[in-house]
Amino acid sequence: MAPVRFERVHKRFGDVVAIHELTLDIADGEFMVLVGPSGSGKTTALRLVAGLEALSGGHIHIGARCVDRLPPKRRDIAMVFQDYALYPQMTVYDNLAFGLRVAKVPRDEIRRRVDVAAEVLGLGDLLRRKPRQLSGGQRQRVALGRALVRQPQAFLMDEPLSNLDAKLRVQTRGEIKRLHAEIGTTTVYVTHDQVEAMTMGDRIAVMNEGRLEQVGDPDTVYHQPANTFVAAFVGSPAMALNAVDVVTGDGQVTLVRDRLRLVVARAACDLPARAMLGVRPEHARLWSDDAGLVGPVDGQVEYVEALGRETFIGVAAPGGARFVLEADGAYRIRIGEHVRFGFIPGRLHVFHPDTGAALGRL
Amino acid sequence: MTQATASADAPLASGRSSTWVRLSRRTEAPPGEPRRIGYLYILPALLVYGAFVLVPFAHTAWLSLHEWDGVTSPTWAGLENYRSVLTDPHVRATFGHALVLIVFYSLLPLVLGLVLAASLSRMRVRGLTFFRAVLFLPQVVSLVAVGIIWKWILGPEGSLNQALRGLGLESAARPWLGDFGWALPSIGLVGTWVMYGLAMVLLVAGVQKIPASLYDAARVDGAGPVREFFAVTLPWVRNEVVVVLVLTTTTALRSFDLVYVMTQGGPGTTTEVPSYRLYTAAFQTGQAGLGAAIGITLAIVIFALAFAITRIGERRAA
Amino acid sequence: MTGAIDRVLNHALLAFFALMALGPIAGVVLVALHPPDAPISGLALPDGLDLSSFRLAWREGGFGHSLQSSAIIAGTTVLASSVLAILAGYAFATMRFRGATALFYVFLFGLLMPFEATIIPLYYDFRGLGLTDTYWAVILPSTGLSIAFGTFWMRAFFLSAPRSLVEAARIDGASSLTVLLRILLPFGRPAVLTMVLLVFMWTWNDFLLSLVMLSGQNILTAPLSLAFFQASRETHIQLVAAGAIIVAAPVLAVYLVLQRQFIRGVVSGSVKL
Repeated sequence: MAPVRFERVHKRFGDVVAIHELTLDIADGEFMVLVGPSGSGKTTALRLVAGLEALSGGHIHIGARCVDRLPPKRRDIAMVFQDYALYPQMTVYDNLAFGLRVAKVPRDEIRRRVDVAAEVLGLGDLLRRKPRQLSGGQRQRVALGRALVRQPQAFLMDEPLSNLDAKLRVQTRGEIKRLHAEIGTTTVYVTHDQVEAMTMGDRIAVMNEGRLEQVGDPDTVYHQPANTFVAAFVGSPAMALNAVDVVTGDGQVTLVRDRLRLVVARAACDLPARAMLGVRPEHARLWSDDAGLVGPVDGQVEYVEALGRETFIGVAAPGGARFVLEADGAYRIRIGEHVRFGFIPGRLHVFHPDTGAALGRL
Repeated sequence: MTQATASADAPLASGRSSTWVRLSRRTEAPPGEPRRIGYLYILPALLVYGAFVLVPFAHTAWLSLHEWDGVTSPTWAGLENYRSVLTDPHVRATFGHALVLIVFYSLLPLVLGLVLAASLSRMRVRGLTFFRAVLFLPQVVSLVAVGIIWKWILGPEGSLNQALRGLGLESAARPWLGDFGWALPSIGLVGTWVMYGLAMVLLVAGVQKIPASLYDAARVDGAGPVREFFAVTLPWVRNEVVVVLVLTTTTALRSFDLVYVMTQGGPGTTTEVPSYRLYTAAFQTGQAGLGAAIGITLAIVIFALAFAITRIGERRAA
Repeated sequence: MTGAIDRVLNHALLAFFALMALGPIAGVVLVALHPPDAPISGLALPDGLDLSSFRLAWREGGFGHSLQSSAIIAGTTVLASSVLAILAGYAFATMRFRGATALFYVFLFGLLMPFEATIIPLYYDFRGLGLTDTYWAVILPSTGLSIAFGTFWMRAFFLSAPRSLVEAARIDGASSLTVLLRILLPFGRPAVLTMVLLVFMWTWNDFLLSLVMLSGQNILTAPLSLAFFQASRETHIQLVAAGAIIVAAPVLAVYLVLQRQFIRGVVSGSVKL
């Protein structure tokens, strides 16, 4: 068990830069999720830790050691691949034992570790089977088991759940978290699914085009996104982002877009003349006079998503602004109808119009 | 030291690792990834291949620029041998014969294969495995045996003449392999027999992977069978056609075994093919230099043909 | 549509072509089943299954020896070229080293190059070394050529293996050789089998190389002995036919047993070209 550290890591493939100067500290025993869209560099970062790719610059530390020049087998890590990469001609037992045999671990120790892993993951009956005789979920557990028996300093997981169906995915998510709670090994977990990231990570690192956009615990990332990218990426349905003009004057700030005017009480920060306004659906509600909402705003319904527990309403507001409202699951409204809504104060995110950086909340 | 770079393919940014990606050499090797040891793996194969294929080829090229009887020292002849290849009527004729054989070994089986593939294109045939196994048989039998078999069939009292006589076509019966005009086509026909099974197997396999939906779409658009063939079937089997053509033309251009067993180049020199001429020149008439030149020319023709076929095949794709 | 008619037509077409392919071979078998002295004219059915022609041909043609020689030559070639081609193909497919592409094209050259372009110096050089008329005279050039094909073939196979498999093994600490032997090869039995079959078939059936390299004093390959046999016994068609069957039999036998593998291999291989 050991901390993992990225120090100004830089990775180039020919002329293409995959990772720009990444610095990230993963604490000992932490479950860190690297999340982002395809091409964000998250998998590349993982592979750099594994030693499957070479660094173009910077350093990577596992524990006290700088592992830049070490081949994968000397880094004391174990990896779970997206397609599991189980050795097809070997039994489950042999799959689990392979790495240990190569490392010349004594036979009874191998047996012991395999048995423990098999029990933890419920693989006991499957030890004599071959991968092609297993279901997707079972194969995934064998892949996990293979990593477990190595007893490494860090687990590296590359989107291990993406090949599972939705229900199995949720179930396995819980199992992996439970395992981590029990065993406590440092884990670096890569996924493109932000729900997975939010539910599994002690901290999540949001990456985009080779850059680290924000790192923090799920709550912070969700409620205090560092920029528009993180704000839009995390959370579903996504935060609605609209460009607005900012008018400051005598103790209040007005956000203007065409006929849309939002008057907010004193702002606690310096705002530029233009900004990006971000509001999450759960903070945009149907108007009611005594709810203390910021607004009102009049708009027209563009679409309705009735999900049973809640209903999301896509609204077109003046000036071409668009918002998503959240309403009670039983609420019904039709497309094209007029709707009046407002925002919960303190939940209006303001971002810089050009850099996208977070400026504060109103 | 020059930093030659192969072009980089799409970056592995998302790291989907199901396929191999060739990267620019400027990308440094991950630690522990086998790189230089690759040379060691290749070395034995390269040595044997180099010693018994590459070096002799270079040697042949060198020899083709000399005159040699195989006993005394070779004497420099420059491009004299190649001039012979291009101008000597006998030698040039051998290449002409090879071209005729291409029609039989290559074009005819291709057409037959396409006909069969087209007719089978829309359905699964039961027992296809059995038929494939039988169709492929001629490829398996030694060409010497094939030559013997057909020599018997095409003989003066052979099955073909017997059949013709039986059908009342006495006048058509002739000594096929001894006839100045018919010997070469006869060998060609044997070649067709040898190759058509291969063409069929490859083309039928290619056709079977065409998704049925394409045919349905064509039919809905009102296409008849001929239009269907050209619009749907043909483009999809382009690769197989290229492979069939390359394999068959290469065989046609070589065809030593059949000629040796069936006609020995005769009657006269009507069935002499380049490889046969090469053989007699190098080992019987003491003209090793000429033989070498024929060999190199043959190689050039084969490469050029294969290149042209592949290019045309690719261009149709565009 | 006209499903039934189509189906009948297709089967008829297939049957016709299959018959055409089988016919001559079957015909020869029938001829060979006649006793050595009976007069044959064209298509004739034997009175009974008479194997005397086979026995006579075997004795007089020395096929026992030539079959053995062919077996030795083909076996050695297959073994040597397979091992070397697997190693080279593996390296080309999984390792990135300088000049790999260029080197691979060098091997590819041998796929298309007509063998005729090398036999002349091969013969004279071997003769100079006193090695003509030995097994090596045929084995070595055959191996060289088979390596070109084999390397291409095995590289294509190794390329089709998922990269994550090799990476997982590398993380597990396996060396490149271990990955090859314990992970990829067990997976690749069909591909190796097809290569072995094809190389065996081509080497066994080779004629030109044996003709040039072997004078017939010591060693003869099966096709070579058949060619000499038929040259000296033109009139006894039954004996020649029997000889042809004897020579073709081993490959035919292997083919019949493994034909599905054979053909599937050839078909899938053509895609890779």
